[in-house]
Amino acid sequence: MDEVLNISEEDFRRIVSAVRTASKVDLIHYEPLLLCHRFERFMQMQGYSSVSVLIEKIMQDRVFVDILLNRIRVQTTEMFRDPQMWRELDQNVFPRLKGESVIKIWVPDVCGDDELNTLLIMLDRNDLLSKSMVYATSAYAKVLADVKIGQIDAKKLEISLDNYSRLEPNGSIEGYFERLDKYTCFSSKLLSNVIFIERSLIFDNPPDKGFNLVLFRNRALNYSQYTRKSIIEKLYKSMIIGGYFILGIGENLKGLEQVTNFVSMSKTENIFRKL
Amino acid sequence: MLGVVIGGSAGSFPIVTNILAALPKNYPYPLFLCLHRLKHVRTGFVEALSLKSALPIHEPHDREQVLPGHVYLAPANYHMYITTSGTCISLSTEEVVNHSRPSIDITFCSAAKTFGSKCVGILLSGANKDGALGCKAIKDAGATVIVQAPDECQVRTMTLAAMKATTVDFVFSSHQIISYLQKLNG
Repeated sequence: MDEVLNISEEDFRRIVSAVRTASKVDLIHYEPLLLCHRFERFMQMQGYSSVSVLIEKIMQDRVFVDILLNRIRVQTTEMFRDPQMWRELDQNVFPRLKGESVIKIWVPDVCGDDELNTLLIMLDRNDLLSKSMVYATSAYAKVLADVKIGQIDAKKLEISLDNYSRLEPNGSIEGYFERLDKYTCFSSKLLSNVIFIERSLIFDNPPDKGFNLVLFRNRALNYSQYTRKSIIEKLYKSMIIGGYFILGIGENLKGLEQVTNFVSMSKTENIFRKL
Repeated sequence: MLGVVIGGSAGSFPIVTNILAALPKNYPYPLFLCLHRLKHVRTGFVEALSLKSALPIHEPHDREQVLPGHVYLAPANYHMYITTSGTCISLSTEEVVNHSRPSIDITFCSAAKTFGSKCVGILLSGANKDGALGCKAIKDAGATVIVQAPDECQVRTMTLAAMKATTVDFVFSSHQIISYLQKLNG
């Protein structure tokens, strides 16, 4: 049986401070509750029972800090998460974008390949890929490099295919994957349409302006209340009037009414349109 | 503030329904439900639980405010945390824990941290060990852990795992659980 690890608030602050000193990465912008749990989980997985030992390691080993930062990052979960949302996009959003000469799309704070790959498949199915400029940004070069390689975990692929079957019971997305000897890769042809840019969502400017669609599902969950507000304001300003903004189904825009002016297109799927 | 967390999986739904049906409208504590559920079935659960309940039941959004006498059901495919002040819910898409999202361990550990000794954790019927570590966290915080009597559980794996992980305070039938919650005085 695993042991319960319980990092105190004081110890939590000590870890955040140590990471800042060792790497210049300031975790203060992240939701403390989740971050604390990520630290606890990391310590459990790595077999650390003492915060002091963890802090000592952070201060002495820069490679270890990178591993820590990578592990505490919350990934998205699977491709075609919430198939109903993708159906809504398919039926009510993409048809309205067809008249645009160029469709600018931003997937900010990319943390894995799921959302991006799903979006690429949906754009391709709607014959919109050739006129789309898809930006994928992350503060972490390694994350972008991994997404570019397109290697897919077998278990995740299985879940993703199951999700897709709920969107399109008789359809198939097998053609978007290249089955190699030891692993499967996502279509390099589709990935070649993406502009990958290393950029912090917190500190840097958007990669472009005039976005028609910003896909930001379940990423805001990881940020502190204050940072979440400033990020969503930044995303809002990067969009054209009439542009679409998408949050996860467990999120909402409460408390952001003063910095954004969105109208809900789908209350259940959290699709919004900029007024 | 005192908080009640209830976790369950296979076979727990009828017990949860009975618990909610027995609690009065002005129940003074918030209840947090973490029940294993199908990730693609997003509607119907709240409605089914609400049929006999006098208490308002919500699937909370991230950062939703916690109110006494309200029931918060962990949404499908999200983990549910209670913020350290006990005033808000936080959701997360972190990896599955014990093959589950929502995970009972996550909600229970979060409740232990938030409510300390003023917490009651109740673990019901279920088919895996999720919730055992959470029960231990609640017990370690000096709070009360109740498990449904394994003999009464449709699937006893979950409650037995909790009893192995920690010394539970009470092994109750569902009627005893209801009676305990009705008399609970924080």
